[in-house]
Amino acid sequence: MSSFSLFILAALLIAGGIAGFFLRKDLLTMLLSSEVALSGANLLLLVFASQASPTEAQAAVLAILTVAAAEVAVALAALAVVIREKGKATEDIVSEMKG
Amino acid sequence: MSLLLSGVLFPPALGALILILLGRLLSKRSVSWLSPAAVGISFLTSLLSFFLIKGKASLYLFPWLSVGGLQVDFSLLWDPLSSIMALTVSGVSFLIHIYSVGYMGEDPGYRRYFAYLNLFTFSMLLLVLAPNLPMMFVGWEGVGLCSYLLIGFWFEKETAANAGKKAFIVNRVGDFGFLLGIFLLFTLLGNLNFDYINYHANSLAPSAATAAALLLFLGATGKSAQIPLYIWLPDAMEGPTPVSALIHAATMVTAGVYMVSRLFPLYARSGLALNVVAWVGIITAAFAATIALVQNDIKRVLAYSTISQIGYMFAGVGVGAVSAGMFHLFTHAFFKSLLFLAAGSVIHALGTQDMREMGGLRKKMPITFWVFTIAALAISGIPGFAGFFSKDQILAQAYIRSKAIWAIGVVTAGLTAFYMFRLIFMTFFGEPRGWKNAHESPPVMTGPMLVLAFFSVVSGWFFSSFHGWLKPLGYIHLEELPESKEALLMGASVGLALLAIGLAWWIYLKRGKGFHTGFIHKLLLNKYYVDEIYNAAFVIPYREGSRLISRYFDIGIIDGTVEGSGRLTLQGGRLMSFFQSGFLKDYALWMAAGVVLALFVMLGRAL
Amino acid sequence: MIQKQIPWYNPPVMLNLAFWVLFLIILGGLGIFLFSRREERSVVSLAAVFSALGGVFALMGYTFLGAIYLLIYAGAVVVAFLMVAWLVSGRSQGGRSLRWAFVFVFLSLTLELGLILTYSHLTFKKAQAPALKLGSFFLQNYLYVFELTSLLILTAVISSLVLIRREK
Repeated sequence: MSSFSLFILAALLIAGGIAGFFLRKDLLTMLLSSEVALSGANLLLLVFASQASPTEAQAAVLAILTVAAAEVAVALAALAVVIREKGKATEDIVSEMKG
Repeated sequence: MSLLLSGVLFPPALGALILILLGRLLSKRSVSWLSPAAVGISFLTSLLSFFLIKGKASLYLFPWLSVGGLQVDFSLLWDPLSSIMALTVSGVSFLIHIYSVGYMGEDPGYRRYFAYLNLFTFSMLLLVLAPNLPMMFVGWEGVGLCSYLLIGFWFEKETAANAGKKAFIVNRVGDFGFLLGIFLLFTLLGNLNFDYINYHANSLAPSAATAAALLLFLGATGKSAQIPLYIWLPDAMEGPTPVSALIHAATMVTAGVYMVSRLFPLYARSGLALNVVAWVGIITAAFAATIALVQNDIKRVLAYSTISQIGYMFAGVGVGAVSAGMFHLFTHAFFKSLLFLAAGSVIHALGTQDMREMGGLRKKMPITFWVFTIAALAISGIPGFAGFFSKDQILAQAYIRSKAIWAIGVVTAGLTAFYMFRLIFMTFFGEPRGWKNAHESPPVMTGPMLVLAFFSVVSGWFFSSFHGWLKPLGYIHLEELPESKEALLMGASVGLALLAIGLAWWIYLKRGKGFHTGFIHKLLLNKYYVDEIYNAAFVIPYREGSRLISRYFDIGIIDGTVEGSGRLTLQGGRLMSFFQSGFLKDYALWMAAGVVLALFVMLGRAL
Repeated sequence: MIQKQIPWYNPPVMLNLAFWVLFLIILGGLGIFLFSRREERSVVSLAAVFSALGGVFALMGYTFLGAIYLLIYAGAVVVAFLMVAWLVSGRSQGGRSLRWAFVFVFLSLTLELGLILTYSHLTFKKAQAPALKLGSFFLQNYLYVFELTSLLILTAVISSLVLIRREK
């Protein structure tokens, strides 16, 4: 479990998350993939910050995690409203702010 | 003692203030008492000051301007010259206030009228009591404003509104010169007090003095209606007749003469300026008199007459006889305002101003007729009446300094007598031409007229006292003429006057109708087409020029720039909206691209 | 106790092995997530990903973080997403296989959690940032962050409730 392999793992997670964001058609999985990317970023942060100060690294990641959880709550609520109003939640449904 | 001076200046101001702010709340009766009373107090205080204050006095009020090198204090000056003016102004104003109670009795703008009249009196007194040029200018502007307000008093009438505007704008042109003169004097001397200027006048280079004097004189031609800026005065007759009497006969229009008299040492330093003053004065006198010969509107005749008489005053001062010029100002105030008030009496009774519709009023309005005649005799220079003494002094002094000026003056005197009596014969004699009922005016109107008539006779007898009173100023002196020469001159002018009166009688009474000799008559009737010439030479080019500039510069360039920047912003926005597809993924794409770019930059920097 | 009895017990090797297993799980889970047609399957696969990731964190020495990941991400976030996914497609289409998947997930989660808690002393870095130290760190150095995050959670709760409200 070298730093390098952890780094690769983190990169894979981030890439996977971004790829998922662009590849998927429905908003729900798009959101989920952004969470994945976020987790990858967390891992990356940990890998690099462990050298300096492990406690601070864990604390930072915990803070990020908190924000992510809050974001998920609000995003899901918004998504639920979209579904309720429009019937489905695909990417083209919420493109009303065109131009 | 000098505290008395505040009683001269402030009552009319207070009156104006009260009337402006609370006028609507006051009854007509209160206004009728308040407004004349304010001026009355002013007059009584002037009288008191006249007798109690010996020599000079000044009342310091407050430091006004202290800017750069300029130090101007707000104070009042009481000296021989200003005391005469203050007395005349407050006295005549008082009488006219009383007259106006009758004349303007039915007018809906009654309170507004008296507010303005009080304001005017205050401004004029300020002008007269000022010890320095800036304060005088304040008064100068103040009377200009009130003139505008009062000329255009019946502003719903388009001609009246236009006349007010014309007066103000023409005055403004003159004021421009006045201001430049003030600036020049400040640059030259650093101090704008009259005493200082007069004391140091001789230290100025003649050319500098000329420049300053002429610039100030330009303002005087505007205010005192001389050539080239007289054109507003005839139109000013649109205002109520008492206004014409007060402002455009006795007081405001004399401000220019007063100013030149005040700064006489400055004018004397530059012989050229003095000459200009004298010649402009006498030529204007003759010019206006010729126009007055054929006018049919009773007020127009009097307006041109005023322009003409003021020309005499300037001629008097211009030939160096300041006391003569001021004396004519003094007597003229009485008989000219009387003429206007009497004319107002006629207009009030008949409802018309056109003399062709008058005639035979002698029996119906006797008091008006008699006072009118007295005033006409005065202005025509008939011995015994005021005008004779004042005009004669001017002519005598003119004869000594310049025969040419004297000659023009005598001819003008003849013309004056002619048009004056033409007016009387057309209005009061002959058969009634069109009017049905006429009645004499009420005592509130005839009273002031009688008082003025009295002074039109009596005031002339006091020239030597007048001259002596002004002597302390230092620049007052008269040349001496041998007795015989003087008698000859007197005889000449009086003879000419009598001849003119006889001619008028013959033409207008004997023959019954006037004479119209085609071309000349048309020229005079249309005032030499001066207004039309001015219109073509100044008004139209200026207006069209403005229109052009407005179109190409203001609308084209400035609006174009502003709108252009707006349009630019809009285009920029449109460009940006290319990025706003509404698609979440597109936004994410741009974000990702940005991140990659940032990464590369960071990497590049690190490596 | 176990150390002495199991011959193949070799902490570094075992931990490495564990890591690579988790690595593979993550890879596989991501694959399913990205390319699956059925939303439900995507969401559930991500449960595996998150739990494996939590395990990785634990192996690194951050046992507290790992446990949190398991509880919050795999336990709450994924479940929330699943429920919203059901909102779209009606009820679940998984049927029996889904029920088995749920059981499997539940069991594995519990196992993992237990492993982390028991063998925390076996991680690569000895007790990186133990929870006690973490607590005092938050209250001393990261106090503002701590308070702000609590504010943030509150705001999130209220906003999501407000958003969900039906207009009368």
